[in-house]
Amino acid sequence: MGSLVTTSGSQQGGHLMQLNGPEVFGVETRQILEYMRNGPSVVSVSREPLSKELQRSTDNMETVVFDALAYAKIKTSLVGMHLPKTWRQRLFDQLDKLHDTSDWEDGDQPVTRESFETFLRTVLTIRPPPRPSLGLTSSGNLLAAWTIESDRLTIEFLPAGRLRVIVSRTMDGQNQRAAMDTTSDMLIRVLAPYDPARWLENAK
Amino acid sequence: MRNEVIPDQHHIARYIPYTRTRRHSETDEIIGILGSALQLKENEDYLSVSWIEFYVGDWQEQFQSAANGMASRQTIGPKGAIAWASVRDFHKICVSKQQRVRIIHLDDDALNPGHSAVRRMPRDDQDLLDLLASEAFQNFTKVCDLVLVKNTLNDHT
Repeated sequence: MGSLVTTSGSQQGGHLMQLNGPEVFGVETRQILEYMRNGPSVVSVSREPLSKELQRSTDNMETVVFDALAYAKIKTSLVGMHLPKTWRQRLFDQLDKLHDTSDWEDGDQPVTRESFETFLRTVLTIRPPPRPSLGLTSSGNLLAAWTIESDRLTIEFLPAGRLRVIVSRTMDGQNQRAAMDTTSDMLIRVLAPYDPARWLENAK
Repeated sequence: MRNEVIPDQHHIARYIPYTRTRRHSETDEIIGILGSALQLKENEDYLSVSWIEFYVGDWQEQFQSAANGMASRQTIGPKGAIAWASVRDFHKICVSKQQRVRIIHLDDDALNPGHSAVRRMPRDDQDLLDLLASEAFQNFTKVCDLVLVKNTLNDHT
């Protein structure tokens, strides 16, 4: 069934659901937590008949995606007091859309735990930034992109607090570009020459 | 023709899944594509694209045929986009970053006859990928605005 959050995790998730209103934990997340408590009978999935092998593969992917989304949402809720409610809800909405597998290419993976943890750490470091548009690499690294006119900041969140940053900024009529590997702690410092407040209003 | 070099004045298209699109943060409307949309996967030797002018007809007909060819071979998600680039612009940007790629027609797929390859794509040049995504592949059509028809082996282009 895949590596679902343990019983203690689902208890923690249930407690978090009680603390947060339905606008934080929507219908799908409640279904995830019920699934973790009670098993697959709670979640109804309708599909056309598939071969047994494809059925098993599909079931496995659904489980993996559920697991990944549940982890991300629960992890976010643990630090929810530091994030505006609307910011959290928008994040959850985007995560749900990114994990609609009908839009995936062959081999795509859901967001990895390690990437999401780096994302959260970064967001809390820059406390929090204006909402980015989120993306996902084929290997499950989360991407965040801020675009203002022709100026772009794109960050790929790697494991262990590492970031891959691409910046393109027009300054004094000239385009300045950089690609760098850094960490969430160093992000604002390495972006300083490009005036990060352009995209990250709260950046210090 | 197999390994035919696609002329500079022609165009290539590529399916961009929703997860690799750049979108407006509030409306979620697609405003471009991310560099990761052009990143080679570990098991890939070339960037898979479709040669638009391989097909006959006016631009709309050629583009539709290219899209149908792509849909015949891969899952095209409803929230994604099909982006296209001029071959000239693609080469120009690569050369500006000291990279020389080859864009060739593969002629290896009856269901997707315009299937082509960008060979010698660097794997790890994130700045180049971002440039190509934002400046070469500026134009796109959302999949939801297309009616895709998968090719069958009895079709002729």
